[in-house]
Amino acid sequence: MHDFTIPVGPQHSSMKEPMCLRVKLDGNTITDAWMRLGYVHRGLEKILENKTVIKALYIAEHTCGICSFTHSLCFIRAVEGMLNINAPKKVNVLRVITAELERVHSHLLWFGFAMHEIGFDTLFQYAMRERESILEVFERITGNRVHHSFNKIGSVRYDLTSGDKIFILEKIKEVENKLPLYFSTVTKNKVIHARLISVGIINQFEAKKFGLVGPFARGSGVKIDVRKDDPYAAYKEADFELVTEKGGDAFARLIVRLREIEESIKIVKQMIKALGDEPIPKPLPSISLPNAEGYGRVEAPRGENFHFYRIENSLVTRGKIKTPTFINISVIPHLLKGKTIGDIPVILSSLDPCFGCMERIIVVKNGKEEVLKEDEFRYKYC
Amino acid sequence: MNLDINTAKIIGFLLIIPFAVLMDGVRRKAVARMQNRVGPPIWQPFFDLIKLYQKKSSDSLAEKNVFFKIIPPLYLITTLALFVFIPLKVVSFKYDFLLLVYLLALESALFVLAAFASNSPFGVIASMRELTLMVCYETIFAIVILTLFIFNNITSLAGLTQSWQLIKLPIAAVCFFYVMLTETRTTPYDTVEASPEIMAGAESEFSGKGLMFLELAKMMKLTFFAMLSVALFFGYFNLLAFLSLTILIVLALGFWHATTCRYKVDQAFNKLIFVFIFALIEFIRIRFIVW
Repeated sequence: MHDFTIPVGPQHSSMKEPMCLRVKLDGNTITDAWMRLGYVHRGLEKILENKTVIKALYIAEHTCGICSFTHSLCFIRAVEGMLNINAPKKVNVLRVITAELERVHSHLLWFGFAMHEIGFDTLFQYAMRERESILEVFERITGNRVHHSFNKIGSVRYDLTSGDKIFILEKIKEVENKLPLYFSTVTKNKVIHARLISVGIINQFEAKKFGLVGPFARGSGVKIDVRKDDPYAAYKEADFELVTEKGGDAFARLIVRLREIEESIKIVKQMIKALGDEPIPKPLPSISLPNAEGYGRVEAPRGENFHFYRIENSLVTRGKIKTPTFINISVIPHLLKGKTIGDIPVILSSLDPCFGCMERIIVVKNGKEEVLKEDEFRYKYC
Repeated sequence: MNLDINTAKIIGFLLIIPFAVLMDGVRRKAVARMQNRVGPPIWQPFFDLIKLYQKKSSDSLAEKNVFFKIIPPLYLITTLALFVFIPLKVVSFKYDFLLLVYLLALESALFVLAAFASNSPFGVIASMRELTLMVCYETIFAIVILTLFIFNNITSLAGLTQSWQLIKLPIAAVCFFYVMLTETRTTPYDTVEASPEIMAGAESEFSGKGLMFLELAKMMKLTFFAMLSVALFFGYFNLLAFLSLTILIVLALGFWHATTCRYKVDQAFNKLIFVFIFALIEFIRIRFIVW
């Protein structure tokens, strides 16, 4: 086969969101790869501007459709820091329960898609079935399946009833019972090993050099987790293991995520035990905040979420959102070089990319600011 | 040459097409049940094919290529021609198995040509993959057929009247199963049309009637291989047993599809080389050790 370049995207069956990856091939081997992003840019930071804090909370939550709660938690952490509010223990516990359930659902979703990429549709369907249990829990405790709108400044929207507690325990038990099956399938299936082991290797030194975060870094043995490094909400009381694997390949990342599901279930159980009977406080009706700046960071399922906000006269004048994919995506061309076409979906999925969350645009040209209309921007840079 | 045509065989030949489509429906349903889904009704492939037949072809640049237009019907005709030898046995002559092997190779070659004509880089990659694997699985198929013929001392497919060859030639049966997995594009050997990697190869460029012919040919091939494996390794007792065993083989393929994932092309090639060596061992064994 002579040399040629193939487009992987913007519309490609190995990606659920649009991203253009051009791959230069020499026979079956990739010699070069480069990316072009910007297909799902929504101007989220611009939308946040000139909104009241209460409104901005819901916009910040809509950054991601999978880990929406962690974005609202990040916002809350920033704003509560500015207001010097310490939420009561029960509120923090409820936040941890929701955040951990979200991690379970996100990892199950990822596990399904990763298996689908290598042609194992049965595990994909099974993972979707388990994920449905978690979504049912969300529907019951927050009222919504995806965008929960559960967080309020200084409080949460609903309290848990005793029925809810039993319901959560039942549903996570269902997931917990099925996990050994996935572990045994993944660790015993020779074809999965052939596809995942030694694919997309990144060692600990390189992982630190690229500044990787989340399960992607933990798969390379980097001990990085905001829940441990900078505990927020009720994570100080939670007893859980920081899961790391030494392999640094796609298989190690798979094992890290599966083990994290176990750990998350453990945390949810502990938190349900720690729930007190006192009522949750009523959310603040309005917030008056003079000029202030603050940031918040939380551990989303994919890694560290970072939000920065500047507030002037109770209005958000600048919002900066950094999602984990934004950091991790830069490593893709490096990982693809020297691999074959069959490895592209495996490497891409092992990153767990979420392009809708990470699309940010900075146009710097000759040190001068360049202002473009939407059409001009698309024409020039998309 | 022995030409045996009668009304029953003509009716049988006409009934094979709906039977093959139904078999695909059965496979889909079985896979869906294994995957914890309800799945489509077993007659869903009929609706799919009718819908594709009614659809207009897309305005692709490849439409200008004459190969792109004529290959799908040719592919279907070649697949239909396979049924003339097994199970209907309309035509039989000395060394007719060579023609069967040739027809299968022709079918693969047509697929390669269609992929090249599709004017898509993914199609080109698919055709390269098909060519790479073809070298292995067509050779294995030829060796397995030769093994059977030499073992039973026959010269024509019509002479295949022995039953339970599965017990006498187990390694050949396993090798044939691998060929069947590759030919029917079942995991772990469906690398030719791996959709997350190369967008289902050549097929993504076809639309309308062309795609319908390709889909139908794929369904026919699934049934043909199921029937061929029954005829070669189980034997023909009566029509009911034959069809039941065919359905069982189709279900086995569905089970394989549901419980494994896909090899990369180089891995698949390496595995098939092992299978090739085993097929050769079986071919040599029958001359010295017979049970």
